[in-house]
Amino acid sequence: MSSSLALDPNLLGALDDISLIARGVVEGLLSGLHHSPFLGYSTEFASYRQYMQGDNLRYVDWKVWGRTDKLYVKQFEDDTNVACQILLDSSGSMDFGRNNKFHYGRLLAAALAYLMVRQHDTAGLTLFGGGTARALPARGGRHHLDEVFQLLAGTTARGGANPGADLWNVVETFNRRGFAVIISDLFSSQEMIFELFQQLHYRRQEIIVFHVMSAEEIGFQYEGECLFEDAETGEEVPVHAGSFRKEYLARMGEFQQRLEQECGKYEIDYQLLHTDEPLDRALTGYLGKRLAM
Amino acid sequence: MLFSNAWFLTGLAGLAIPILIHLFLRRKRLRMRFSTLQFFVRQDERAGRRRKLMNWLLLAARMLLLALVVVAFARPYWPDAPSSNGVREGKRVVFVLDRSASMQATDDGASRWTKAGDIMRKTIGELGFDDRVALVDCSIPTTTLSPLVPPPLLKPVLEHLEPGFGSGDVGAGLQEAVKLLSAKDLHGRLIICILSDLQRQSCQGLDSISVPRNIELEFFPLGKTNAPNVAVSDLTVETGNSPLQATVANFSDRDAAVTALDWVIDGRTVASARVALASHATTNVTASLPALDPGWHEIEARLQSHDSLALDDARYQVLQVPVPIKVLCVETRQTKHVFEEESFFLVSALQPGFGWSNAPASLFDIEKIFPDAMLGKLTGGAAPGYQLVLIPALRQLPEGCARALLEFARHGGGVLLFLGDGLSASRYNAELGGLLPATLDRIEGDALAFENYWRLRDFDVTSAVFAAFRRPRSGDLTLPQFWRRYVLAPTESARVLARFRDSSPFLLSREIGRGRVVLANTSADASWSDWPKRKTFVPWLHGVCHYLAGDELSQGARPENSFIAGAPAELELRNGGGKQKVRIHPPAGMEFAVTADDQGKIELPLDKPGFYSVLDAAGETIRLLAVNPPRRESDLAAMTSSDFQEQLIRSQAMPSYGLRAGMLDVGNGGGTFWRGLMLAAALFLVLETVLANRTFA
Repeated sequence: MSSSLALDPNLLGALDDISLIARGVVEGLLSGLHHSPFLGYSTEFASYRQYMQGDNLRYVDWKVWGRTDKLYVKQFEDDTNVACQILLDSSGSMDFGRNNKFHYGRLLAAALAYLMVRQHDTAGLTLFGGGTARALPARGGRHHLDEVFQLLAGTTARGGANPGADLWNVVETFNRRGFAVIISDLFSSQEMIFELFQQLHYRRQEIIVFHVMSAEEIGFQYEGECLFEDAETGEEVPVHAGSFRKEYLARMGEFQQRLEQECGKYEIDYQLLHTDEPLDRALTGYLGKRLAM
Repeated sequence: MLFSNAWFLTGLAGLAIPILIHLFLRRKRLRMRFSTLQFFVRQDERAGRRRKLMNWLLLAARMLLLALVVVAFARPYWPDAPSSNGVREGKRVVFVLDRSASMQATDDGASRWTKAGDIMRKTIGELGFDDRVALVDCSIPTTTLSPLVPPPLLKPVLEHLEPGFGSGDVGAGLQEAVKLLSAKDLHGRLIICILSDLQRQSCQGLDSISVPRNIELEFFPLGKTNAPNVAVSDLTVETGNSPLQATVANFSDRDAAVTALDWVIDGRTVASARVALASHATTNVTASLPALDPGWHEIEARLQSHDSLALDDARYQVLQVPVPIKVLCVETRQTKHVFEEESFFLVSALQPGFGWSNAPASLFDIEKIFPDAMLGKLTGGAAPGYQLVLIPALRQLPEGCARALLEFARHGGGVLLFLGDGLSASRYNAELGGLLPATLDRIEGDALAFENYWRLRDFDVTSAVFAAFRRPRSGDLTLPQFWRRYVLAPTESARVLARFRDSSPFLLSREIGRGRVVLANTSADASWSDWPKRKTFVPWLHGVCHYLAGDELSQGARPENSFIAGAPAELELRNGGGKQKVRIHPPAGMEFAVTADDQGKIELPLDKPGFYSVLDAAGETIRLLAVNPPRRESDLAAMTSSDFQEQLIRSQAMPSYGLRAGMLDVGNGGGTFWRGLMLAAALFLVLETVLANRTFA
């Protein structure tokens, strides 16, 4: 795996034309293109609602009171800043593939962070795996982006997938509603993954899962007698690849099916990414789809 | 447990092969790093154990497969294994013994026959009490000399067994042996021992012989595959001036040394010739036949050779010199030169050496007289026993001749009459009317007009007169040209034997009393036809004379007097009719008596080459037979046992003894079970294939 991180100019150029518009309304402090789930006090009228005790009298529409003798409060749709928490899997299983999954995921995380910051949103980064988790809180600004880049560049994928208690400690800090983007092969224990989904959902995060898979994992195009070594544990298993392929693909299908089921359960936007597919194309396609939703 | 081929067990060393394969040729796996083994792990724990187990099973299957094949090839058996009925099943051995003449050959001083006898006695001596042995003689015709009997019972048969002199057919003997071993109730190890020199001539048609695979074939080398041999392969003897002719052949790959061929007649060497033959060459040796007295003569061509087979160095033939037919020939002309005589062509045809002091033997003894002496000859008190009178055209018939000729014919004599110029038809009709088969009318044709002639068309080939022309291309009787003839009116008792193309009679016959008269409608000389100058004239004249003399058989089918040794011969006795008792004097051994059947036929066993005399009750030789070894026995070129076996068809046809018997092979040798081992090996082969091609993840 390459230790330097260089964003592909083509990728960044492609991202110039695309804005990540969150589908949901997130809580934020900065104005932007994202629709906030909370109606704020901006110039753009949204709707009326009945006055409730405690509402600021500034927003009472007196003209309506004059006509109907009832108190209504004007509500405005306000653009807010979005906090995007990027969780990148840095376990040993990510360090695999002809097109390395971790490298692919790292680029994806960088691209997302760049995009968010450029939109004046905040982006946080959490690297989990190898028994630990390292995190940068969601912030905006070019300096913060540089920190994100540096963290990504200085990280290698290794160790087991279980992040330990560090990850949960980090997740507990996600107090504001926002996006949580998980970039992982999801080969950790399913209990941990589903626990993560649950925690993020509990933290009112709109979860986007980028399931990064290499072509070798998807097609299992191996032949003959092979001795497979686990990238995380170093365990070895002799297998006749040709005859095992069918069973592998069946198991992989079951795995993905269960993932999609769980994602549906938590309204998670699940996106399978093949490392063979160029990142810009994959990201552009995904964001285009998301805008259309 | 014992092994028939114990040395095959050395093949067990091959068990190291699967072990080496297992250890050194283990399949090399490609080491692959993979992101996660969570889809493998559960399977692998089970598969790993199964894989190890299968590897061991595979190794065991391979070793067992190899071991079973090796042990099966070693042909294990339990010597004391009981059969299904509790009786020990021993060997069943059939000796196919070649008793053909070639078995008398010697190789480096050792006789093949002696060798065969020694081998048989040794083999029989090694057999046990429970074993059974049979003997088949594969000489033609194939015979079973002994069925399957306990070995001691075959020894007396061998004691009295002598080599044969006939041909052999090893294939037929083998078939007979297979038949003996194909009996349903036969159990044990089945073996056919072939005791033959495997002479190629005796091993024909092997590719059509089917020998079941459960029958073992054992061969014993008895001689060289190409022993040197020079033989007298043929001997022909003709009467008259024809020479004796012997064919000498060299059957070996080497040139034969110069050897002497002796001609022996009646036990006396009369001539000798030197013979030198290249490899596989054949030559004819001739010798003139000396004058022999009437009667039977033994003729032998004897080669002074020192080759492998002495039997065919001599060849035998017999010759019967008949007693000449006494012929009275009437000559009408008194000329200075003999060729101007009217009877010149007749005498020359019947007795070419007439008048010579050293004339060779002839079938006819002619006495030539003038017409005026005819009466005296025919009616003389001391009649010399004439059998035939030849009469050219008589210008004048001597007084009393007609009556004398008539009497001569009535008493069994033959009269042959020719016509010609100057003959008085009316006088012939008047005086010889009782003798002639036709009435003479007039002469037609011009003796000087050679362009106008008649030819013969029909002739009675069933008659002994034309016996010489029965075979195709034996002579064209339509070629002679006749430019003068008589107009004849056949009598009622006459038989027309030949006609001209215009159906006018040419040759007429009439029987008078016990005699016969034949009238030829042409001249005796060449004045009326050119026939006397043609080669068909001589055999025709001989046929007429034998016909008139009542000796038709000598002109017809001659009885066969030459036979091949080893086969019985049927003889038809000419005289004596049915139930005639004769004695046979063989070339070796005692005389024996034979009685002919109702048709006068006797059957003789002609076992040995040489001369067989058939004697009548008075001790006179009425028939002499020459018996020779078969020509094909002289060619000692032999095939090897492997060549022999390659030509055979080894069929699967097996008598069924049930599963146990089939597996343990109890029907073939009491405790052999190689077939079961081979079946087990085949099962392990299948198992090995399944295991080797199965993959576990």
